[in-house]
Amino acid sequence: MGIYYKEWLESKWRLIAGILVFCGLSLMNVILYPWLKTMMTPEMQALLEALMKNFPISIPEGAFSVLDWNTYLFSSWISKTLYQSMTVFILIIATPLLASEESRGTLEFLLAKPVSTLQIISAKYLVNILEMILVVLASTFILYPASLIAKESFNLTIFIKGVIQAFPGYILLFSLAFLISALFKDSIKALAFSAVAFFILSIPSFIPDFRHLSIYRFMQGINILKGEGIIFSEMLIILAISAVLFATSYYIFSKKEV
Amino acid sequence: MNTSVIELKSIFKSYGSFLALQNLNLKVDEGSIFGFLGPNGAGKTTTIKIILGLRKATEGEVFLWGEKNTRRGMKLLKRIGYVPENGSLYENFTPNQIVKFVKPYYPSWDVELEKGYFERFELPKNKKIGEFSLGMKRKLLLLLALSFKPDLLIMDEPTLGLDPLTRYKFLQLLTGEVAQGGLTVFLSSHTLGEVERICDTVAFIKKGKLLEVKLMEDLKKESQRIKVVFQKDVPQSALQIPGVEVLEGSGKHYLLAIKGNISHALEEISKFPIFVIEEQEISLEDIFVKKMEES
Repeated sequence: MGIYYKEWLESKWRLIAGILVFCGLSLMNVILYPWLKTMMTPEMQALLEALMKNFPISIPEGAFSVLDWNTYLFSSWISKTLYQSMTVFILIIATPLLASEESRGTLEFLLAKPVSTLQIISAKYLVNILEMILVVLASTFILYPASLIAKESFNLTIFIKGVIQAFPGYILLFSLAFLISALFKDSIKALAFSAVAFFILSIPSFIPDFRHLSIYRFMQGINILKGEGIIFSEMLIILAISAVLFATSYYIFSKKEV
Repeated sequence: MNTSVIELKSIFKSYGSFLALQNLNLKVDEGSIFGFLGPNGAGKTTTIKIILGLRKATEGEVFLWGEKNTRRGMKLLKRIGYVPENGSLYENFTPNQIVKFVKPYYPSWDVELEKGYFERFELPKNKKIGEFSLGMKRKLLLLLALSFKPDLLIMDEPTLGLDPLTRYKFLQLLTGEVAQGGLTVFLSSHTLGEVERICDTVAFIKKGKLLEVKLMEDLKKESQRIKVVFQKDVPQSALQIPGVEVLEGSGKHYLLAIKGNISHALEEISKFPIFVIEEQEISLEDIFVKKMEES
């Protein structure tokens, strides 16, 4: 279990920083609510609806229903800030995982130890996925006590559903960045290529006929906001693709020579 | 009969069109301290990495304790302590943390031994490795490589960055461990003085080709050096005796290298009246330079 301890040591400060930043971002929605409420005139609502038709990705369907607390929180947090910030967070945490072992020169030390390649790569993958999960859970469910303080009722069910549906998307993005990290010896190059790959994944969002294929659209959880259930079939497909990406990362990493 | 701890059979390693190792055949016996010498870029580090399974040989086989090692054999790595040349460690960790990470993988890890090395090397346990000097990092690598009582210790430039006192203590410790039995050491070094002091067998490598493997004792006997002061001037041409090489000198004073039968050579030299003759110990450095120039 030494390798898990090592990965924990490497990620603990990122986890603490991640929780603090994400909780801050999430609480901003609570703090801004009274101000947004005063701003939301009928004209503004009409304008938002019109914008929605032209920019359906950046402004989700629920965004204009600002008068309802849960709709507002879900659309501004799960459907917007959380998935956008998570994309950046995933880039930060996943791209150096394998590439930095080479750029720091620690790969030789690591591989000379009797730790199997599968253990090395699994520890990196699982510890950081756990880190990601903790950041999402902490920053999302802090909204519950915050709602109580704001004297609003919090619809726990839709947030649980939203988070459950979003996770496979985060895992897919993480797996992709992890694979790119296995391909490069330099964290900066891995980061740049991952950013390009993330952008390419966003292209279907801009094409109406292919919008349903967008991983970002899936993470927004608009279907849940509309009162529909979690799309389990798509979740399974996304998780299967993530597993393939992980297996490919393992294959590439196991061929590395130091 | 000595058992081979390391056996390399016809190892070739190429990087594109560059041939880093060519037909390398080598055996390291149990309990020996084996010095692997060669100039920069000779293929020493590549050989070490192939032994460990960190790099794959293009052709050939590696056997450790008679067992084939293809790619990072876990069972074999548990028995090997390794001190790499670059010595990069996790800068944000403390020595205590790195020990906690590494220890579970070695069932034979000896906590008392670990404590002893911490004291002997005067290493702080809770200071970030990033704040360590190069010498302190080397000491920590040595501690990590020795605390589980390895059967084989592989070191690439082990004393790089160590101060003379620590280097002396370390070499003493190493010979002591080997004397107690069970440990085999394979090291590459540019510090020929220390190789000479502790190694019982030496191999020379140049441009990926193994030139020679010899016991240190035999290597020293192979060539001797004498300083001669003749009573009268002797021309250099007169000293062109088979097995005798003039290293330096002219007139009455000469420094000669004698290969093979020393008594025959001395007989020939003695034909000229000698004032003083004295034998000088030939160093490994002299042998190394000569071998590299000859090849």
